[in-house]
Parts: sequence; structure tokens; C-alpha cells
Amino acid sequence: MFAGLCLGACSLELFFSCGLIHAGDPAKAAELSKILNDAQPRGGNSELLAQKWKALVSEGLDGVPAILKAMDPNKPLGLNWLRPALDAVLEKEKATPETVATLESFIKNVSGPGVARRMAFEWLQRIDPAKAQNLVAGFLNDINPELRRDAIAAELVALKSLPKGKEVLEKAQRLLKVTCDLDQVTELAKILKGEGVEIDLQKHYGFLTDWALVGVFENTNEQGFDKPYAVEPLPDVSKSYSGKDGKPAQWFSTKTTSPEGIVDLNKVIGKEKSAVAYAWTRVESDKDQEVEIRLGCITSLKVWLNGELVFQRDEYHHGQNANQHIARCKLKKGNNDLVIKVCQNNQKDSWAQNWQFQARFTDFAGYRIDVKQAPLPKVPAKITAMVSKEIK
Amino acid sequence: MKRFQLSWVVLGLFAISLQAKGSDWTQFRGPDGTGVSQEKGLPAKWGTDQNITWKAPLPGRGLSSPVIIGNMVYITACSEREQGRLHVLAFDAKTGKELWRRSILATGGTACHPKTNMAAPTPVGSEKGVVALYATADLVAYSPNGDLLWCRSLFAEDPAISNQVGMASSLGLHRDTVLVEMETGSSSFICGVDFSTGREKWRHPRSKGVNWTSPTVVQQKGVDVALFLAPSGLTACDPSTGKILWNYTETPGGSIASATASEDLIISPGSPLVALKSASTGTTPEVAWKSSKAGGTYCSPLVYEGKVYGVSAVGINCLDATSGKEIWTHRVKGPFAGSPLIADGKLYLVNEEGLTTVLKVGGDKPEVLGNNKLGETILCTPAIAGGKIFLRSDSTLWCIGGK
Repeated sequence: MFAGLCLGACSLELFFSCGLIHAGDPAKAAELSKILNDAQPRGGNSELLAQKWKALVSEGLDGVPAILKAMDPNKPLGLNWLRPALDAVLEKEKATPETVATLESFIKNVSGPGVARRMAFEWLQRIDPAKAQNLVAGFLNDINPELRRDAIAAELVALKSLPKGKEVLEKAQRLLKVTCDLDQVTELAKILKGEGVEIDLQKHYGFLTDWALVGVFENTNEQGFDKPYAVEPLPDVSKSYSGKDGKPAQWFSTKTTSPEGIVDLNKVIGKEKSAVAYAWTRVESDKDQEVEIRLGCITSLKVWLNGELVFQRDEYHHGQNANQHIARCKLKKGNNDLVIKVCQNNQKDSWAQNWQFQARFTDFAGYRIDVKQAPLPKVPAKITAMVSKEIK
Repeated sequence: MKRFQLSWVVLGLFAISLQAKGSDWTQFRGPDGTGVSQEKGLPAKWGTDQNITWKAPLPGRGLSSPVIIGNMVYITACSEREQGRLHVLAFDAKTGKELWRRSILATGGTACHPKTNMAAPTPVGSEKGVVALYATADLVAYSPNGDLLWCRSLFAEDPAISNQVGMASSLGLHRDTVLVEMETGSSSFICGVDFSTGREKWRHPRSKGVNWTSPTVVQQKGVDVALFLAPSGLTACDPSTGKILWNYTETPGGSIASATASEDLIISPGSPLVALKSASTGTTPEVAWKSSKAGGTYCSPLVYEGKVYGVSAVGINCLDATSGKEIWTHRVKGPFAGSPLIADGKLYLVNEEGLTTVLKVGGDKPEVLGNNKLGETILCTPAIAGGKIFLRSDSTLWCIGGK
């Protein structure tokens, strides 16, 4: 009798351990995922989380929707506790029809977190590439930039196989309306040029073009980055300041015509070294909205929106692109004041002579937010007479 | 009698386990970070179809070296368009079978020079598993069977961390302490992290400035010393407590190649390369000699049997370890991104085209033993364990040494 019970228990254990039954509890998985999302920095609660992680993985495939649902781009540390759990579960489950169905269902639910749908898609690509490929066309307007990119890439391949003409023109124009990535926009602009249509890239990306500038201030030994000059965080453009070496620093206006919206300070301010300049503009938003500010700047910068510091990076001459710096921020309905502090150091290398910036507001996928740049307030007459330059 | 037999079995297993540990490759440039392996009988010749034990595909790019603990080979890689997925893979060292793969998402910036990538730092491994650092300042630890032990975003903890050329300092390892050298233009520190929990045992702020060198743990006068090289100089500290033992600042240090040491000598590969005499704890070491003949490249130098080997833009220079005088130079086809290794009297140097030159060293002149092509771009430093050589490209991990 005892031996029989033992045998029965062993069989049952074997039955479960072999994974013949998915005994996972979705509610428990959701609870465990929530705990992992509360990961503390500096390894604060790592022992507890390591235990919970194992428990979550043991929930198997039934826990996968909970893991995915808990993925929150605003909790990057939690996300990085959850993604390896997804790996551990799916690696064990392998490519069963049930796994594929679970992933496919999650990906198709566009109300789910974009980042999680992308994670599910990457796994589907590993275990059922054909099924994953079938989903790509549906991502053309997806909020997740990586899913959207895949769809546009597939459309671009198809587009290139078509003969020049109306169909190409219409498809390229349609694609351009949803394209965010710089390389794909460039490719589409080239195709459209071949069809006789010139694209205003500055407008497409939504670069801010009209700025009031003031400078220069001291940045010897790169100390100016942390020095709160009177201009920041919310300037009064009717004021003038005592700048570097006691020289007057006065506001002037400029408008960039660069397709990439680059404001070249070497051209409008001068080839200054160990210097700080400020740029100010005002944008009008038709509603309160959460957006991203996307910036490119080859040197150190600080950024304030409505007097609140939203981004800073103290690094010089390590490249620049339009999506180099991304920060989430809130535009309020009505006028919003944007201030950018740009610092130049004293490096002598030929590749370390530029100082310039570009800025725009986008949604979370990187597509432009249409904001209206308010006309710059009247710069005092004597200053207007002094400089009003345009970047060529 | 049975108990006696069992004891012998246990003892035998213990001996085998010790032996396995002896051949582990736990970190960048080997268990003691010097680039010198005690392995014997390593291959001198191989090619795409010759002497390859196995090869395995990788999901993305990486400059990191593999680390090998017992039968586990751990390697990092990064993938996706903006290198936003950061992987650790574990392979069976004997068969090359992928055992598990775990991924996290980059929390720090992924901008970098096109030559490098986010999986540039070499991880560290022990019987507890593997700890990996990425150029995004993400730090993560897994157990040998792929369980997540802990995960940190150094960037989220300190958003000023940034190196848009691409951070590449590898981790160092001393017992249960993982050494992190995080030196960037806007935030810099060194710290010792507990392997099991990810919590910090100690931390020191450092001068701002981009630095790609890796920490090295060496033994000096019977004391374990962690060396941190930076343009400002060479710092020695107790790896377990972080206590600063000495600073050498007379000659600027480099920012790419890492320091190394023998029992009697510490080599700081700046420009010039400086050889310091081993010192007792708390004493700044004296300069033994300086040389402009070896150094100034990406490659970390080696000290082996009374000679110092450095890589120049066009080849290898061999210096006398006592005097610093040049003994020979040998032209080797470059350029080189990975550092050389020495084992069993053979020096291995891989160029960026995937050509490994094998030189017999130790005598008055080197002897070329092999020029081995793998036909892929290789930017990593090799790893050596269990009689095999491990190399990785952006797409392949090779185990070399025959079946």
C-alpha cells in the first residue's frame, strides 16, 4: 500500500516535472511579475527577486501573458528582470502550437505594451519565422518603433521591385507619413525624388527652426556646464548680459534652413572655444500632451522645458544625430518655453571644432508632433540691427 | 571498506574538480588577467576546415572574449538595429551546443563608433555563474543554469554615465568581488560588486575622462592587488575592500590597453610604457624603466619568462624585462584590436581580418609556427581553456584544437 502510494506520488511528480501539464497560475504569475517590476536599484532586493524570478519561471507558459503584460518601458529595471524570465520559459516550452498561439495573440492585441509585443514578436521570429513574417504588414502604423520599422522595411523592398510610376509615388507618399527612422525617411525621399517629388525633410521631421540665441559665456576647463548663468532656466529675452571676458552677450534671432534642422553655432555665433551659448524658442501645443524631445548635439548640453530641466549630457565631440538624445516631457496646452544650453570645450583636434544642435518634439515612436513655433518676441531694436543670421 | 572506497571516489572527484578549476578562463586575459595561460599542448595551426572542434552561430555582434568555467562557455553579444538587445549565451564546451540564451534591453545609450558595439566588455565567470557588463552600463548576473541572479542599470543609477564612442572596459574578478571600471567624460567611478547579490562592497569616484582600460588583479609580494589604469595614472587597491594601496601618477597612463604584471614587475602601457618594480602594500613602486618601443596601441602587453611583449602598429616588440632594452621586433600583419596571449611558449595574436599569427617565443628570435585564417572580422582577445582556443567574430564562436 505504502509502496503504491510512493509510486503514485513519484509518477505524479514525474508527470508534472516532464511538463506534460501546464500547471501555471496566471494570477500568481501576475503577482510575481509585479514584484519583479519593483526592483530596487543597486541590487537592493536582489535575493528576494531572484527567488521570485524562479517562481515566475516555474509558472510556465501560463505565466507568459502576465510577464508580457507587466513589461513597462517606464520601469526599465523591472523590464530587465522580466525579459530573461520570458526567455527561460519559452526556451523550455519550445515551439509548441500553444506557445505560438500565446505569442501571436499577445502581439495582435495592439492595446498591449508596445515593448512587450516586440519581445513576443522576437520570440515568435525564433520559433516560427513564417508566422512572424505574416504579421509584419500589420505593423505599419504601430506605436512600437521597432515593429513599425520592420513593416516599412518590408514595404520598401516591395516598392523597389515596382517600375517607376504612379503606384510607386502613391505608396512612397503613404509610407512617408508613418516613417520615423532617419535612414528609412532618407530612402523614401530618394524614391520620391526619382518620381519628381521633393520632400521638405525639415518639415517632415518637425525640426524647430526659429531660435533666439545669446552668448557667449565662460566654459574654461568645461566648468560652464554646471555654472547657472542668469539666462537659465527661463530667460528674459529683453535682457542682455555680461558674457565671456566681460563682453556683452545679447539676444539675436536666427532661422535654420538646414534639412536636418541643425543650428550651426560656428556660423551664427562664431568659432568660439571654452564657451557657452543659450538658445530659446517658444512652441504652441493644442493640448496637454506627453511627448519626447529628440535632440542632436555634438557637445555638452542642458535642456529646460518651461523652466524644468528635462535633459543634460556633459560629453564633447562624440558624434551627433537627430535621435541622439531622447527625453520624455510634457507639453502644456498653449505656449511652452524651450531653452537649450550648448557648451563648447577647448579641444584642438580638427574633429572637435563644431558646436551645433538640432531639436524637435515627437511621439514615443519618433514621429513628429505638430507644434507651432510662436513668433519670436521682438528682440530689442539695437540687437536686431546687430545680428539676424540664417544658417546656410 | 565501502566507506573507504567512497572516500577515494569523493577525493578523486574533488581532484578532478580542482583540475577543472585550474583550467578555467574566468575573465579578460585569463584567470589572473595577465594574458598568460598555463595550458600545454595547444594548437599552432588551424583554418576554417582544420583543427576546428566546433563552431556555433551567435545572435549578434560582440568584441568580448568568451569565459570558460568547467564545461560552460559564456559569451555576450548584442543585436537589433540599435544594439538594444544584450545577450548572454551559454554553450557546452565539448560540443558547442547552445545551452541557454538570456537577453535584457539596453537602458543606457547605444551610440558608439561603428567599429565597436554594446557587447564590448568581457564578462567574468565562476562556479556561481556569469556577470556581464555592456557598453550601455547594464550589469547582469546569471547562474550556471541561466537563472537571473540580479540585474542593475548603472546608467539609471547615474544618468551622467555616457561614452558615445562606446564604453569597452571589461570586468575584473577577485574571488566574490566583481571589479567595475566605469570612467566616462561626464561621470567616473570604480567599484567592487558582490558576485551573488550585485550590491556594492566599495566605490571610489574617479576623474572625469573617457577610459577603456580594464581592471587587472595581480599578486604583489604575496598580496592581491587590483590595478586600475587611467590617463591620470595607475591606482592599486585591495580588490575586496577597495582600500587604496598606492597611486602612480608621474607618467600619464593610457586609456585603452590595460596594465599587467609579473611577480617582480608591473607594466603600465601608456606612452611611454612604464615598468614599475613590485612594491609592498602602501608604497608607491619605483620606476624600473620606460620604453617607447612597446605600447600605444589597443593591445595590452604581456610579461612572460623575463621578457615583455608589446604590440605596435606593425608587429610585436620583445623587451628585456630587467632593462627594458629591445631584444627583437617582428613584423606581423595587422591591424589588431584584440590583445595577444601566451601559452606553452607560443604567442597568439589575432588581427582584425581574423588571421592569427602564432609565434614560438622565449629565445633570441621568434619563430613563426602558424598563420591561421578564419576569414571573418575578429576584434576580440582569444580565450584558452581545456586545451582549446576560443575565438569569436560578430557571427561565430569557434572552439579550436581538434576533435
